[in-house]
Amino acid sequence: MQHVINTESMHFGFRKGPLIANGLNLEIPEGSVYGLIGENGAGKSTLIRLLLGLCKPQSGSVHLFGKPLNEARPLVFQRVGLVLEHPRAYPHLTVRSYLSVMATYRQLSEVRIDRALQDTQLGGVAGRKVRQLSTGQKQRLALAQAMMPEPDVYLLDEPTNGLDPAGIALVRSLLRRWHKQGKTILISSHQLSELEGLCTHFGLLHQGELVFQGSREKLTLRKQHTLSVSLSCSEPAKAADTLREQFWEVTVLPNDHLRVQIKSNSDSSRIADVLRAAEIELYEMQIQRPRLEDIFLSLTKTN
Amino acid sequence: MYRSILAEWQKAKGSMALWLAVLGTVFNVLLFAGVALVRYPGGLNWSDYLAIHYQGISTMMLPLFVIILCSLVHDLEHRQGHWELLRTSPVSPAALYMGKWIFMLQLFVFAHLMFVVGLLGTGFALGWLVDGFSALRQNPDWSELLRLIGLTIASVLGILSLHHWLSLAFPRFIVPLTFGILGFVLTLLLQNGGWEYLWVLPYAAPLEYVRDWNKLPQPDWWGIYAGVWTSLAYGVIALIGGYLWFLSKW
Repeated sequence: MQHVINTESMHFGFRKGPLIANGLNLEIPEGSVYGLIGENGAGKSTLIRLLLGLCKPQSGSVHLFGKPLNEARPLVFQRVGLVLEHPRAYPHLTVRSYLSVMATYRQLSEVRIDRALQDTQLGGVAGRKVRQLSTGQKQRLALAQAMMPEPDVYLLDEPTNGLDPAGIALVRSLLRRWHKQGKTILISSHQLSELEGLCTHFGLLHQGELVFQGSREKLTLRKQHTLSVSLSCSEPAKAADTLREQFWEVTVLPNDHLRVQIKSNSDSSRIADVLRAAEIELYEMQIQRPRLEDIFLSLTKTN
Repeated sequence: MYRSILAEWQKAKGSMALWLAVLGTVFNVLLFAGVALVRYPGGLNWSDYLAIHYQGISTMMLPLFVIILCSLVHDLEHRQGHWELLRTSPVSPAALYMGKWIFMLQLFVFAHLMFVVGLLGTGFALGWLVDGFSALRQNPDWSELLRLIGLTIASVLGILSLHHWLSLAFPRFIVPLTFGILGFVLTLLLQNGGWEYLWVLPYAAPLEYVRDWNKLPQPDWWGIYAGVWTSLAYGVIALIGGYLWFLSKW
């Protein structure tokens, strides 16, 4: 698969700050929705700036559409739509005038402005000054300016910041539509639940390294390794000892529930059999599927 | 380049820079018409009327106007963090850099032409409405007026390029503004002290280019105050230097 954006052994760190990229090899496949995940301050925004040449890596290289960034800009930027972390727009202009300015820079017609306003549901406030918009509306305006050129690649840094549930749903539907159209999307967020169902690929950034990078399928395989069941029974302490004797990894939770690590769904019936044989009454058993947060935490813990 | 300049004009709509240009000009026109009326109750001719206006703006208004104009235009990008979006737009650095410079020059020329139209309007109005000002019913010396317009524009080019660079380099509005005001005040002090090399300073030209009405001895090259030529030199050098700096940060 061709990579629309990739970095090679990229190093970048602030003089008195955290290491953002430590030999980073980021690979964003064409047509993917790539979720860049990391805790606050992990350097997601700086990484996006590095990909756009707004910061210069101390070593290594960045390629956009297969070309070194330095050679490719500003031509490649014709194909890139960008939403930076804090929405930026000229406050004294109206929503429509602001989009007109950005359309002028990109030689776009009025039709594109109308379409962007419609798609981001900003038509009703097109005549309102940017300074009068709410945070969520400003975020949608940033999305509108990013989508106006109908780019091949979207780089979206925390695009749901400040959005209400309706706004988040709008972003989700836009992302789905762009993905269907074959666009490549890099989306960064620290709210992992937002990304879980949307992304085809993930990159987990931690201390300048990608502790995981790959497709959703690859991540799912990792998830299966960390399946567990949560159960409650008549004698928790005895049940824990019995299961440990059978080489299960067991944790006793504060509410006297047990958490048992399993490898596949069928392991749950084997656990039930073991408990029944030990004459322990099983009240409740539930398979726990790890969320993206759990995977992220387990990966960053081991690294 | 064209779309970069056009975008600057679109941004200017309702901006502080445009308000400064329009309101500042209206204020100057009314102020100096009032000065003429109060100081010369017996009337005056067009040459004196032009002198009041051009001496008035050259003493203070011109350098400060250009310094504040540059700071305001750049502050709009810095304050909103908009440079990052511009740098990732498909516009070349040369078009962005020169587009902003040409826009600021155009805005200055626009404001100055408004000033000229205003002073002609108030001059003719005084000529027809106020006894004793009947000399203003005649036409002014158009060639003198054109020469003053040309010299005014040439005299601010040095400050324009220098402050284009400074305002680009310092994201905080106050830094280029302070630099400009200090430079301007220093030039004024040296002018009052009668320093003979005043013309080497970039802020000197707008203060002294109306040499015909200036009492201080001034060096002139080809009939024009030397400071105007140094303004042109500063204009070119700072424009190129600023662009090279801009490219190094690109």
